[in-house]
Amino acid sequence: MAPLGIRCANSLRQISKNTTGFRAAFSTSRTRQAGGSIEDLSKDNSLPKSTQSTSPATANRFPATTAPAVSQENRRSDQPLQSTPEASFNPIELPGARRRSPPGDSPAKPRPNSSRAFNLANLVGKTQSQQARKQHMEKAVSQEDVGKAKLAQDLTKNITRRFREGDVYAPHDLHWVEMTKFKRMGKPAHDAFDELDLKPLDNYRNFSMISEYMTPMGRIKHSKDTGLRPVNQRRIARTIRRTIGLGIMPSVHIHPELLAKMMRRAQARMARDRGQ
Amino acid sequence: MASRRSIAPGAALLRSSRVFSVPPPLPKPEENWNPTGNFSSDTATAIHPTHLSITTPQTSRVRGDWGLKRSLPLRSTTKSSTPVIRVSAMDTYEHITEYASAADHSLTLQKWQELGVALSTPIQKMAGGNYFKNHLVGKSVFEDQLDTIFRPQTDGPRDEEVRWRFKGPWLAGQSEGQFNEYMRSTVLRQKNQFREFIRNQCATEERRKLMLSRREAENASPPKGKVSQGATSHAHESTTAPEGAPVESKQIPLPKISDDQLYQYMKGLRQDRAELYKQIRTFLDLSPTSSKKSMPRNIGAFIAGDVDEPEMEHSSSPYAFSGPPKTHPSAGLSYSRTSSKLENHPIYGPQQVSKPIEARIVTPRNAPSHQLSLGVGGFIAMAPDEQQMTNAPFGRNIQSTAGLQHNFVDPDKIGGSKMWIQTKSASIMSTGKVSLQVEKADPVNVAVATNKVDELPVAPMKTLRPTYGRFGSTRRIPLSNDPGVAPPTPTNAQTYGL
Repeated sequence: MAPLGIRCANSLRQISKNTTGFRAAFSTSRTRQAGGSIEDLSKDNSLPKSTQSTSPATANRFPATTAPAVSQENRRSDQPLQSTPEASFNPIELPGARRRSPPGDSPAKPRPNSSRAFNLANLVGKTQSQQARKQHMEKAVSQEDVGKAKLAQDLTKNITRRFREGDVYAPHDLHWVEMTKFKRMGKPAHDAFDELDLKPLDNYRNFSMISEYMTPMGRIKHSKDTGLRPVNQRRIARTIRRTIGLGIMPSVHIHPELLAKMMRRAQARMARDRGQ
Repeated sequence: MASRRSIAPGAALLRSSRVFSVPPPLPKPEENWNPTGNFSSDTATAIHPTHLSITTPQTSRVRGDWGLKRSLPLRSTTKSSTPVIRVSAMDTYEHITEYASAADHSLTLQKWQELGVALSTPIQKMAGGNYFKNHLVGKSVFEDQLDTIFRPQTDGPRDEEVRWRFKGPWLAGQSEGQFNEYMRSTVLRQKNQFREFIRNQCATEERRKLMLSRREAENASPPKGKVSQGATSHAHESTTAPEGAPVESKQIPLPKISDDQLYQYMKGLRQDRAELYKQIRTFLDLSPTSSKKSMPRNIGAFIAGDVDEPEMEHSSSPYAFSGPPKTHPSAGLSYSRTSSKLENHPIYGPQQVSKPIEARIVTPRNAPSHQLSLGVGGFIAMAPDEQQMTNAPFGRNIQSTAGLQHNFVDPDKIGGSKMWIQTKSASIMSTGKVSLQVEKADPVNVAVATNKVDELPVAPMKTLRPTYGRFGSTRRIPLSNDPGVAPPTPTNAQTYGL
């Protein structure tokens, strides 16, 4: 998973291609310029570039004024706003957008590879450019929504702290530096065997309990992972060694029954996600 | 201050200084124990402050003078709009004073005082969604009946129903290991004291029986002395004591209980478990407990007799379900007895409800915590239960834009997503956290608060004048079905009461 900063910039790049808002328009931030300089997706390189400035800062200064008026043929290559060509298919769709046909399927627009010389759409009067512009505007709206939705999703997913009722928060608690600290699991505050008043050696046959103190590779966990006090840490380590020595626990992984249970659960979860 | 010894002037100066008046820090608040580990941060704001917040006037601040052992650096203390610090170490081995900003808790307290919510006893939710309600729940913590730690010596009304401080632990909140440790270290060592306590209880019981029998004997036989003149009027009254007769408990000494008598009494106690448990609770000063399951869920179950055995005495204490508070139930946050105060608006007059507050949506619904939480004055409050706009199944990613404001973070909103709420009540939980109950604010009240009454939608044809802002009510009383009645406009002077 890419770090937060890069993922956000990716989403912003996608938005900056399609938005006509003033904030994006007059922004001189790096993300905006990065979005402007992506030319691989804007495949319309028909116009010569010598007559236009190639620097994204100057070229994209006033995209709002030029976006509606410029038709497809006169679109500048370095303008990222209408850069999504018809050929690229946007995989992310809103539920409502399913009704809209994907690009390339519109009956009014003739397929470029069609062998038909005579097109009914041309008879109707709407030019190809007008149709394409309409579809672009439609797509631009939906893509803007999609871009915004994706950004909102990503930002929401990164609120890693679980705020509980009665917690006190200050502005620095909402900062990403503080949030990243809540991703790391700390060691338990109290000794589990003391709290439950159990002896590890009396539960040597409880392979769930024993496996909880082993890593997936079959190694005994350190006390900074278990949070046990030294006496109990020694007891559980002794129990694990004896159980392995008895032959009722494997030494290189956790108990196979637990492995089977975990696999069954993962499969059920995948089936549930697929079925949704 | 010792009167005989003379105190050196330097010592006297130090004793009266601010440095010496800083109290020792409180223990850090405990987090929920998770055997596999917690997600936590050492720099996150704690649920309650543990160190004193110190501030200093601006003239001293520019010189770095905070009344401490040394002056503090100016770069970090003068460029802040919240010049409040907490000192974790007055002097360290490296000869520095360790300090940090205390603005988080100080400003939170300031915001809380602006909210003006009074503290009440906690409201507990039982299994099945019902609320545990009795005459002590939801009352102000400063009620004379509730605000007490007094233990009457004589056997009077049950004081543990109302007290908030107990010497013994709350057994329901203890884990197995903690309970066994308590038994080993405290209870088993007090066997002899408990035996003497039982002997005392037995003696008190005997004296009470003696008093009753004497009273009955006096009522049966004709009374002597002065009272006999008015015997006809007094004879039927069993409660009034004839003069000279020793019925006061102080006058009868406690009878001596022999070991055999004590043994018989203890045997009787073993059968009468309710009485035995009561004796144990009194001796160990345990806080009352009540199981959520043991409470009858509704009056129907109660009538049908579907309740637990009488041994399970249901305590009416407001702290029975969640445990007694660690401090006074108000935790020093607010000293007002009620939130019922009338706020006056300069245009619309007295308002029925307090001013609505814009709460921050700290975690939207689709965040990893899967719960909509609001930030009100620095405290996290759970969003009021409202009907879900979409019945989206768990894990659905993209939702309609209409519900986006509460389901996802809104990246375009400057200042973050907010929600208008009204505070209802507040209480302190047994963990030390503040439980603030809020509800969604009425749009009319919001309009009054933001001075946007003109933008409110006009009332429909068939209603009588809606009360915009005045007494905050939005009750619309239909006038008649006659469409000829002109609709009242918001600019109507009648509605504003001017």
